[in-house]
This record gives sequence, C-alpha cells and structure tokens, in this order.
Amino acid sequence: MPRFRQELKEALPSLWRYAYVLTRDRSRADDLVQDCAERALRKRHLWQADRPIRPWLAKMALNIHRNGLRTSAARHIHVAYDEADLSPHALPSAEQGLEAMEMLRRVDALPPEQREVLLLVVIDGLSYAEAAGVLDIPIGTVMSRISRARASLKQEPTPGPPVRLRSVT
Amino acid sequence: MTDAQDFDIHRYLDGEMTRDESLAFERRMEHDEALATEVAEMMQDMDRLRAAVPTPSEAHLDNLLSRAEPVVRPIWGQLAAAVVLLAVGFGGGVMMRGPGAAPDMAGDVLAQASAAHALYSVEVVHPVEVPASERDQLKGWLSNRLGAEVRIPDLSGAGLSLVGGRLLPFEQGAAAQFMYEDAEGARVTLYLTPAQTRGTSALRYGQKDTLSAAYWQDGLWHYALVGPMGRDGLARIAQSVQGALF
Repeated sequence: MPRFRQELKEALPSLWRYAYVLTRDRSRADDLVQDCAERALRKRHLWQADRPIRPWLAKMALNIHRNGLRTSAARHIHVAYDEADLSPHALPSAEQGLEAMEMLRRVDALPPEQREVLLLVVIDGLSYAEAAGVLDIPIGTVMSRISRARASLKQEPTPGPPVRLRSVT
Repeated sequence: MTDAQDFDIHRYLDGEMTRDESLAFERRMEHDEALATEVAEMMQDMDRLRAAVPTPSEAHLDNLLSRAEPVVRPIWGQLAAAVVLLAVGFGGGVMMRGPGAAPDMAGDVLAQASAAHALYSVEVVHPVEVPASERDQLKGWLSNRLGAEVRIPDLSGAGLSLVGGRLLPFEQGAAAQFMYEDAEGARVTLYLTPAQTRGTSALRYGQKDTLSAAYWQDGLWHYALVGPMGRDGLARIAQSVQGALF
C-alpha cells in the first residue's frame, strides 16, 4: 500500500483546507481530515489506482460533515498547533488579511448549493467533472453554479462595519 | 450573463480549458478590456478566498495521518486463535482435534498464509513478484528456492485465473504464495511450504472477519488456501486445488 499512502498524504493539504472551509475551526478540520484518512485507509481496497483520490476524499469529507457522522470523536487527541504549524497562505499585510476574511464572509452568504461547488473547485482544486461526481450533479450545473456564485461575490458586499485598516508595518 | 462566454471565464479561471482554448481566450481579452477587467477581478476574489484558508504544516498533517493509521495487529495470532478445529477430511473421514493439541503446524501455516493474503491481496500495483505471464519461470524459481518441485494448479475450472506468485519466509524456511483472481477481481491465495515428514491431514478451517482459510497437508507439502468467500465456497476451491495437484 505504499502508493496508496503516498497519494493520501499528497492529498491531505487540500483536503485539510477544504475541511477548514466546511468547519471553520482548526480542531474540527483536524477531526474531519483524520476521519477521512481513517475511512480511506480502511476502504483502500475500494480505491482504484487509476482514479484520482482527491474527489473520493472530498466526497467523504462532505458526507461526514453533512451527516455529522463523527466516527471517533472520543478517540481523537487533539494535536496542538504551534503558530509555526499553521501558516495563512501568503498574507503580507493586515489589510490583505481583512480582505480575505471579507471574501470568506461573502462566500458564507452564498446559497449553499453555489457555495459547495465553489469550495470544491477553488479550495479543494477539483475539476468540474470531479466536483460534479462528488455532488452528483451534471457538469453543466457545476458550471452554472460557479458562474452564479462568482457573479454574487462580485456584488458590493452588504454594508457591514467598516473594516478597512491601513497596514502600519 | 449566463451565455457561453460567461462559462468561458470560469473555465479559464478554473483551469478547465485546453492550452489552445486558454490562448484563444487570452487573445480575446487583449481586445476586450471589459472582459479582461472582469477576469482580473474574479481572479483577485479567488486569490483572496484562497488566502483566507490556512494550511497546516506538513508535520502536522503527517501527525494526523499517522493517527489515522489502523493499529497493526498481529493477524496471525488472532487468526490462529480463531482457527476452528473441526473440519471435514477430504479422505472421507471427519477429524476433530481438541484445543491445545501439540505442535500446531496447521495453525502456523494458516496464520502465515492469512497474513500474507491480507498483505498482498489488496495490492493493486504489485500483488505478485512474478506475474502469471511468466508461469514457467515462476515455477522453476520457486521449485529451486523451496527445494522441491512446485506445481501451480490450474483453477480455471473454479473460475479463477492465476495472477502470479511470490516467495515468502516460513519459520526457518521458505514458502510460496500463488494468487488467483475471479472475474469480479476477488482474490484467492494458495500458500505452500515443504513438510518435514510425509503425511496427509484433514482439511482444517479458519475464519477471520470476511476471510476464510483452509489448511491441509498432502505428501511433502503443507497447503493453505485463503479467500474472501464463505467456508463452502472455499472448500470447493480447495477441492479444485487438490484435484489439480493429484
């Protein structure tokens, strides 16, 4: 199984990021990733080597998240984070951090079916065909949901507290 | 907004275009400033969204993965304990052995065969060392290593085709494992190792979760057959093996 484990390992960063946008919590993202990895290892005989592993994992993550199916919450010992363990992607300034948070807030305001497709494609990096498979919808529906999601994100945000900060570094 | 061109923007942003399509789309943007601006804005939105999601370190993810690994249990110990000692002898007799019967060759062979089955039958890329296409070479090599002529039974009558074989350790010596596959891809392995003394034993069965295993001795060989079928299904295959080897 070394090849399977290798594929699984390589899929973990995007799976974790996807789990994070689903749960919005580091510990819960850890749990979700661990649950997916456990299932994947247990069911690795169902995996076909010629098929990409990430859509399979994404579907697992989504199902577990949707159903609140926590398999082993009691067994999980939380892995402490050092600050060094968790790097926001590349945010040189506080202002960019705020823009990112604002974008996440707008994504949250999307209709769920649009948000699901957008996150699979943009955060997990799945192709349209793979996202269609995960969500069990036609590929045309993936495209139209992505298109509508991006159109809504472009709209002016609903007025919230003004959070423009000038970076002082 | 929801025309074909609109989808092109997204297919471009999401890497769904072929190289030629991308180049054509970029040429179009050069002549259409509004389009270029829209694409640039959306690209920036997506960059912001990606930037809003943290990424844990590789060490942290490795840690999660190692916690997700199943605890490695010595399957042979469990399986040996689970071996059911009641069996139907293929010589026509029914034999029974009580627990604690001394040197339990059957238990050892079953345990090793089952562990080897569990290990290799799930392998997608390298299930065997020598593939069935090199059957003669496989036979010669294993016969040399085991010190006696090995026969590879043809089990096509039982719907099983040979995948190949490999050499394995058994106690102080060696064993051979032949892997077979049915039309659905279910894998059955035949494990054999030379015996110290000539003999014939009854069939003995073991069962662990969804795996069944059968052991017997015939002449100078110990055999074990392991597969994901029920005991009856396995017994039929064992008969095919015996038939093919006689």
